[in-house]
Amino acid sequence: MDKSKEELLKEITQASFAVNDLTLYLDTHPNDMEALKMFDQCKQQRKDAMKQFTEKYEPLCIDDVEAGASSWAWNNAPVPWEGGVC
Amino acid sequence: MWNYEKRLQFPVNIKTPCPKTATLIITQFGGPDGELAASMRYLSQRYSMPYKEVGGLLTDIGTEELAHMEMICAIVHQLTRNLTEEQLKTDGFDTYYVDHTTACWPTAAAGIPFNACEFQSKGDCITDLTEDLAAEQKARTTYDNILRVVKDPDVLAPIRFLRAREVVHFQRFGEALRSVQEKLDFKNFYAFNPEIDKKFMA
Repeated sequence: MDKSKEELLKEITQASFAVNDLTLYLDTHPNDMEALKMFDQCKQQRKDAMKQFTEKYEPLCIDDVEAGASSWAWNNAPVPWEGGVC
Repeated sequence: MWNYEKRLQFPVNIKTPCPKTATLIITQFGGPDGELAASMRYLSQRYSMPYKEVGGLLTDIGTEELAHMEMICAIVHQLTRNLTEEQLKTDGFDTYYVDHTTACWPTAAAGIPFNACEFQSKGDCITDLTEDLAAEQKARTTYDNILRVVKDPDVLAPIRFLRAREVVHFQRFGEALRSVQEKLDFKNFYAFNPEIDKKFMA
């Protein structure tokens, strides 16, 4: 089933939060194997969700701006502070 | 170097504008314990930090604080969107409005503009990390105070998230301070300052 924009953005938000929080934890616990494994999983989830979002909607990161486009897509996304999908 | 990601760290979707609430929340943008001061504090302290894992933590938390600043500004912005003329005259917001219309400008709730004196970058890792621990607690108290007076669930959800992050950052800074102390003379942590007395360092 196709995921809606809201669902995909929620996945990005959740996976990215896990990545952020684990980053801080690993900064002070660099040898915690369980956290390292969790970091890899969450990072992959974030990557997959970002890829799906970019392909269906618009780029959230400059690296995801599509090559060979006929117009500049970077500013097509709504600004995050207006609410809505984010 | 930083890259921008076009999303908020936690969603902010406020349906009902309330300029009065905006005048309180704005303190976490430009107030003494706000997110702007937090980010500038950690990002400024990094350069003289002699331990790279602690410098890394300052970078990562300082970066997250920028995302928190963006959330706070989004809350303030959404609370002051599409105001009626009557709402512009809201007690406490009217004085902000004449100077800034409905733009975001860093100020404390009581009207004191943002000032770099609200944070310290002291060049002594025990001093700086102790300041960081206090800063996280002061921000947590500010969020507790906001939670006590604001009732709109659309505002409360992101504020609760931000409050929880203060607690996590406090924990991480505590661990960083402990790791710094482990590297120092356990009989006298203050025998030398590792940020400047390099000749004493192993």
